[in-house]
Amino acid sequence: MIKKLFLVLIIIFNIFILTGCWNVEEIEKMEIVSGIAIDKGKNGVKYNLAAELISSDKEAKVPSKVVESSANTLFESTRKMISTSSRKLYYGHCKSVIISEELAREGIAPVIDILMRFFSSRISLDLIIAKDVNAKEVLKQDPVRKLPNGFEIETLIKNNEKSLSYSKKAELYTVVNDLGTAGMCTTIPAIKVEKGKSKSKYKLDGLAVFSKDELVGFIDADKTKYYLFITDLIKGGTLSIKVDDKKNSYVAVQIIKNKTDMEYSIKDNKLSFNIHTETEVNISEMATDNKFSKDPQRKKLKSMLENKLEKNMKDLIAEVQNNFGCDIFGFGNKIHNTNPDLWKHYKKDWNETFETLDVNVKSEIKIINEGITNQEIKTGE
Amino acid sequence: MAVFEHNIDKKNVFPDEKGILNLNKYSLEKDLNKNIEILNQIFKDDDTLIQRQFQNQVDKSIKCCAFFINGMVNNILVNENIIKPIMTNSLIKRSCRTLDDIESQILFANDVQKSEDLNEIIQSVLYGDTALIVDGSNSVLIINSIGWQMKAISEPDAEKSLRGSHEGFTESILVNTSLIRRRIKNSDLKFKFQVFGTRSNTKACICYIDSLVDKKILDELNRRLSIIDLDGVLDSNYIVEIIKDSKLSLFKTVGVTERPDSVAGKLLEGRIAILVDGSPEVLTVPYLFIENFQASDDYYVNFYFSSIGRILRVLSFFITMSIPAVYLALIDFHKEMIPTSLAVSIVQSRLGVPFPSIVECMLMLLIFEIIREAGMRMPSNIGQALSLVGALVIGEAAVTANIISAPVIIIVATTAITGLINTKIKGASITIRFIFIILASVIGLYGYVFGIIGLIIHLLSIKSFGVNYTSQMTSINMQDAKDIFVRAPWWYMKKRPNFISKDIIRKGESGD
Repeated sequence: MIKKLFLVLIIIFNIFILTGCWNVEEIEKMEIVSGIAIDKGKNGVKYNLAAELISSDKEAKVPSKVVESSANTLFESTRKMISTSSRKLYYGHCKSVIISEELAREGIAPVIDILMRFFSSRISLDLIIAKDVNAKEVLKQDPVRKLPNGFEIETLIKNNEKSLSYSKKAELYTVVNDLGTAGMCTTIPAIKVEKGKSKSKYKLDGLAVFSKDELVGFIDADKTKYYLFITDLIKGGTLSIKVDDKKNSYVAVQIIKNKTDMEYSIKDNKLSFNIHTETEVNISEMATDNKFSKDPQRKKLKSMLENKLEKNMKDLIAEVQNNFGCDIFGFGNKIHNTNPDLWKHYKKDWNETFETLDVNVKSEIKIINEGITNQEIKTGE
Repeated sequence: MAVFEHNIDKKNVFPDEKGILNLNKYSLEKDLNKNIEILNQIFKDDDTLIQRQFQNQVDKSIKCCAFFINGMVNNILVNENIIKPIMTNSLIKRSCRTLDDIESQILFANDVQKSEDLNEIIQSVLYGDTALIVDGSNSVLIINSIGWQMKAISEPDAEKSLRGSHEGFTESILVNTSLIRRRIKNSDLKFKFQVFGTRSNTKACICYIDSLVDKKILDELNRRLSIIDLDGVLDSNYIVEIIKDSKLSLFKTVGVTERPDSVAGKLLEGRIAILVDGSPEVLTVPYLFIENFQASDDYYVNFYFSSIGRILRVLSFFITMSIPAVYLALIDFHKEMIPTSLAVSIVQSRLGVPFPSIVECMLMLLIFEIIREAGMRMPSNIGQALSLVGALVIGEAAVTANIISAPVIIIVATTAITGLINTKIKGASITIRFIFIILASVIGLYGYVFGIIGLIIHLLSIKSFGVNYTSQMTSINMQDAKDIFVRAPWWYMKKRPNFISKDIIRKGESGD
């Protein structure tokens, strides 16, 4: 019996020895961080870190407050914050990390390193680049709905991606994956602060383009959609087109479903890519008397949309090729995945190859229906 | 004779160390007065014993004496059927066969036994029979005249049912056997009486259906019953704790029920019931884990509905064990697992609370257990005051005064309600809950998972009378699973549980 008891005690004590990282910390003894902003420090200090802390006071008018600290390493500055926040900061619920443009141009690898290494932050953090402003300015904006800005920005990106396609989500782990992937450059959503008369507020503004881990430029918000088309990431959004120059009338369609195929071919030792998109759309606005719900008008609308899409995609590819020279579309990755031997040949100077790459774009649009009515509004008859 | 002397040797009269009266010194004589003297000696200082001497009106030499215990007999029966016929009969003559004549021609009682064994006579008298001594005979007639007052058959409070029978067992073993017999009218249903308790002489009855019962289980039960050595058996639980498997386990391996319909159902599955006189709780063996979640209602209502109820009960058991532990693990160790907005509101409500969450949780659970215990023991008319104190003072006021945080109240309330659903497994769930809380508060979810694994290993390792405690639950066979988490319709239940009964086809349905 004593022997048995002894064995049980050994097993119980093993629990304490075998556990890895564990510590009891009462939940109210720490400050929950909703978002962090990383800027370049002033006066030769490397980083300036700002963290948005959720207010734990029920009656507080503002849902959060921002604390700052500067240090040469990010880890040091997170610890320095305790001097102002009094309690330890907890990053487990942090949703977004805003990095200033200035810092991003020097490379985001060191920032990503500590985010991945950080014991309590998640790998599904949203990364955002602050365009033209300091990152902490974004966090310090007045919140829209009594929600901390860190959470608000996350929701902003999520809904944007779903139904507007002005931006895309860049989670920490996807960025890390992209950085490590051959023939692929990463993009991160950009945010800017719009100054109004009395109030200023932040607004998503396209994508920041990275060559390796350094920021090289931005894609405009309206062009982001075509980037998403090419990379097969589009989940929704609209396309609108001018159908009549005289009357200045437009038709808007809603993107329901899209499938993009990317293929490469080599002719006479020259590499070229074919992109084929198949898109299902609904007509959602038709403020015109052209009867687009029936042929042949419908066919005409279809070809107009196809032309527009093809043109815009081509333009975007050309723009990226000329301005940035980094393969954000993943053409190189496509070769790497399907034909590793061929990739070895191109690997060395892929960026140069990309700049002169010949890309053909073919778009196919299927108009599924035209909303819940096929009648036009009749006036005066 | 030594027994009739005033200064008798105490050793001979008083019970020996085993509690059994040493009757070897006594034997009945042919003389009525001497026999009366012997019985008086045995029942010395017992004023409830009544001796009624009388004689026949015609033949005055026929002298009789009736012994019975006041309050244990039906007085009308003794007057009308025993004393009156003997007194008024004009045909009877005194002879050497008087006793037999009285038995066969005069007594109007349905159950009369002739005995010379003093031990048997005393037991019968103590049980409410009447012993009739006739002058000139050294035998005694034991006449069944049981007629004590008892509680009426009523619905058991602990196992109420919406549908189905509203009868419950009573404290009287014969009423209880009749309640079972009325449900299974078959000569295959056996009742075997045994006496337990060297001093209390409590009757117990083992009940089973001969053609269904597994003889191995029956033998094992008899073996375990034979080792019972108690001086008093006042409730069936005295027996449970001795015959139970894994005696230190928190889980019941012997079933306890107050419902005759439930016992009848279990007998028809090949189980064995043990009835103990004086206890309305009837034991059934073997008892499996899933029986904790089965209610007799399940079989009387629509099977969809009863399946939902069954699933809710199993789920509630796991919730009541786990919820405080998981809550503590989440807020002390794994804050990232709580949805953000919930985390924020927990922080807000915990601000200013002076105790660590483990103390808070333990305190509230303790208070709840105290209130529950108080409610059980207290007269029902103070119940209102109790619920007022419980709900208002401990719930509302404690939160307002910032002594307890609101989420803990919610956790404790959920724990309490889910715990109350399964009354049969209440004891186990309370203990396991506290073990889980301690594990989770020391090492977080890791400890909780450890506890769950330990619990499952324990459940899988225990047996009830040779049957695995969790059998059927771990089976993937449809016929085995028909009465586990869901209750299959009756037309589908063609077989009995095969590890309990030897005859697994339910009669009458085997032809389908």
